[in-house]
Amino acid sequence: MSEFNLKTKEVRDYMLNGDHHLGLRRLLDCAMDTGQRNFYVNVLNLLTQYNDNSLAISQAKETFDLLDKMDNLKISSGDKSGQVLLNAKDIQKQYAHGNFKMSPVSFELKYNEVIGLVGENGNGKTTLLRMLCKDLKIDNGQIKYKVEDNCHSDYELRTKLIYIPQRVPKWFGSLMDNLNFTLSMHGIKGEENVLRAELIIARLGLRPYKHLNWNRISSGYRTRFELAKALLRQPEIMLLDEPLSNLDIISQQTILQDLKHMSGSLQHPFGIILSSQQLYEVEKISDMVIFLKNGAPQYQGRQNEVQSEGMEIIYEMETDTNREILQQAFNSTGLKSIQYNGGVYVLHFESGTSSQSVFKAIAQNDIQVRYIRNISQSSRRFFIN
Amino acid sequence: MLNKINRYLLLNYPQIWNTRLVPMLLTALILHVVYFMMGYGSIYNISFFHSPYEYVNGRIHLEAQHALFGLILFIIIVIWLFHYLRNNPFKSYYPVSKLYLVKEFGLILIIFLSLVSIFHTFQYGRLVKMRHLSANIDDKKEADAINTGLAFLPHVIMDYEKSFSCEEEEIFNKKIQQYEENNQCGGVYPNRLFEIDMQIYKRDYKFSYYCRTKVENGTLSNKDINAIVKRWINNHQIDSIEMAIQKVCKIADQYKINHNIQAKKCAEYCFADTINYSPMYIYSDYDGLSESGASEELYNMINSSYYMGFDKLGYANTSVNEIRNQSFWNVTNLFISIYIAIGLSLVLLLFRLLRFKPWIVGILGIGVVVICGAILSISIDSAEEMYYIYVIFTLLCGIAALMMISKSQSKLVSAVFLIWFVTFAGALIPATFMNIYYQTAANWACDGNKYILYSPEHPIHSWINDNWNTINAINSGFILCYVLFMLIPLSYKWQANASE
Repeated sequence: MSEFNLKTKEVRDYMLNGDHHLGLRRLLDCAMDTGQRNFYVNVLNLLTQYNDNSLAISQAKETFDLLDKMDNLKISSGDKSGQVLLNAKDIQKQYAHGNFKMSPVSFELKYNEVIGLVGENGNGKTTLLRMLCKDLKIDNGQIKYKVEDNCHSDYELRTKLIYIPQRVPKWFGSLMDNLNFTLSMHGIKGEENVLRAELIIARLGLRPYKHLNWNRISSGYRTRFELAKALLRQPEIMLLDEPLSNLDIISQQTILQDLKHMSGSLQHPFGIILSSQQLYEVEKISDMVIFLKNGAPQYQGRQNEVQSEGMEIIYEMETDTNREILQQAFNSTGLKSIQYNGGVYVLHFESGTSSQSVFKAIAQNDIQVRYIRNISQSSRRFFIN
Repeated sequence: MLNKINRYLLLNYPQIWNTRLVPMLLTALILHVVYFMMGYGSIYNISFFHSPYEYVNGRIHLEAQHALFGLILFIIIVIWLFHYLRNNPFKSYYPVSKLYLVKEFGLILIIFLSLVSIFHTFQYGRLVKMRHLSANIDDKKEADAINTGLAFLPHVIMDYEKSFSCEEEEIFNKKIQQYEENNQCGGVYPNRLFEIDMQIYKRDYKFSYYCRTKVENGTLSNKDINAIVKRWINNHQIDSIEMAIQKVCKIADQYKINHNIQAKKCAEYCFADTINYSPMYIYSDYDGLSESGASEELYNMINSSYYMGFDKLGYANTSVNEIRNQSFWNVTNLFISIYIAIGLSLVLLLFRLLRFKPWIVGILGIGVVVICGAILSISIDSAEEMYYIYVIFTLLCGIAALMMISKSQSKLVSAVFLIWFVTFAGALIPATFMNIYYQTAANWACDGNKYILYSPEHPIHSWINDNWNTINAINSGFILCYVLFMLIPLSYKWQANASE
């Protein structure tokens, strides 16, 4: 079974299980992967029907007919997975004015990968992103881009590195016109232009807003619009500075999952580096997390490596119970220390402490817990001070 | 319809859509039609010819029209810029072709040319109306008739003085010529000698001394007029004189010039002994008195005498002649429009290519450089040295911009140098030709009372003098060349460079 067939199977499963929204989003991805206009049209028609009759779609014969037709296509992935898109080696930066200094950072970004940059404000996330998109000069080190070899000029290279700043610059005219313009500037003309714009609008949930302008949509939708525009440009590397800051909680998760999925496009795979303060959300989709503190990578590692690094067991807990009772309750479970930052308690346990023993202690001592999370493997542990 | 065109352009020709070429050309077309009609309508009747260039009638009205249209044009340009500056694919790092910015420059140049040229259309409207009004006028014949008739309508008493007669003037001119030949370094004929000459003929006035052509456009010379006057006076041809005066009156009536001339009486006055004490002295600027605030007594005096606007008569005839010879495609005016359009396009292109901060610093810096240059020129007081300073400064700006951008050095400073080079290089060719023009002029020096030619005039001197339009064409080409081959390629590099 080809990679594309796996994708269509995934859509079928979602549809059969009633996850229509997710199924349709993935169906749109599949249509985009086909690169064929008739599939664009069919999927968009389906989407219109779905909007009109939300319950009947999973049973709709034409959805599965369409998936069958897609299955017959031979779509290759181009075998880009695993290829290094960007290789940053010991890059450093010090501003002429100000005290900030970026210590050497090294990492690799591959196709279909997401790197999450986490850290408090003013610790160098934006600086690093700007260096990576060549907007800011590096003092030392080297950045090697895979696309560099096919570029004839520095300008051409920068067209492949798409950077979306935290503050989205204002745009004018309707959302649809802007997307049409972006596509036609990238050589996609006529009907194909309209269809592709419609697809991406549908993909990012912007359909009801496509004829609205900047002043009439919320900041969250503005961010989505920027993402839509960036995705239409078929980037090689996408650099997103705090893309979640304007999104609501549900959208944050959806957008991140969608981005991760789209970066694995068969036609146009790409890599993503994003900065955020939403640690849990970023960790969920990131292949690698870099934690920056005072311009230095305090921690960086791939997600699977994080686990092996976690020596002590750390829990974050919100409760009305006071410190003394907690101390007493967890004493027998290998508690090393308790920190309280005004909102939550952070409990440090000895290495090897099992979650069973922790929850047992909670139950036995009748501790009323509003929230608890094991952050031993999360970069959240770097933000507990 | 316009929406459909816009949609089509957006989906297929995004650059043309983004520059709003189609709506702007349509707007320009409407403005041209309206301005042509305004120009055509700005001249009501033939009386315009005796007060050309709006000196008297309708002056405020015309300026108000221009101001209003200038304002409308400004508003249109602002609205256009608001739409045009919305999207900038170049600054957004869209994958634009090498020719993208060249096309962009071409498109905005076309838009500016179409807008700037509306003032020519206004003039064209006026010209068409003036030609229409003067279609039946034979300006040469009219000039001869005016020159002949005016000889018998004395309004400048000196014209009839013996010292200004054809014969005396010839002798006098020879005297001056001789004097100047003998005193080449001594200047003009001294006033002292001139006054002695004048004393001889003081108060000797006769019609037969008249040797003038008031209007340049005619076929008759001063001597021809003098011959006619002598013949008619000597032969007592009062009817011929009356007829000549009547012709002048008819022409004045045609142009609606005020007068109260009675041809018969004026013809009779021509045979008085001396014209100095004649009651027929004719006032020439009756209408002009209202502007100079003349007293009531003066008005009464003039009303009891004869008057006619002779100057206006001359103006009217000259205007008709000028209109006949005037071409709509005035090359000098065309170059003015081209330079304005290129200048505006360059300022806008630089704004499109660079960021706001370097752009504004560069533009304001131009003012500072110009002021410094003016102060320097006062202290140096040598046009040639200033020329060399200007050339060196311009070239240094160009070299600095080239090197700094190539080496990815400070974006702000390199952009400022680039703006300065682009601005100052625009005058490089005219300034060079101007310098050559002065350097290649004939060099005379005074040796005793004679001028000695030290170095003859170089042929290029007169070539430059006669070929400013060619030089302007070369300069326009040069500006386009450095925009295409220097500014635009450097802009790609500048845009790609990382900030400090």
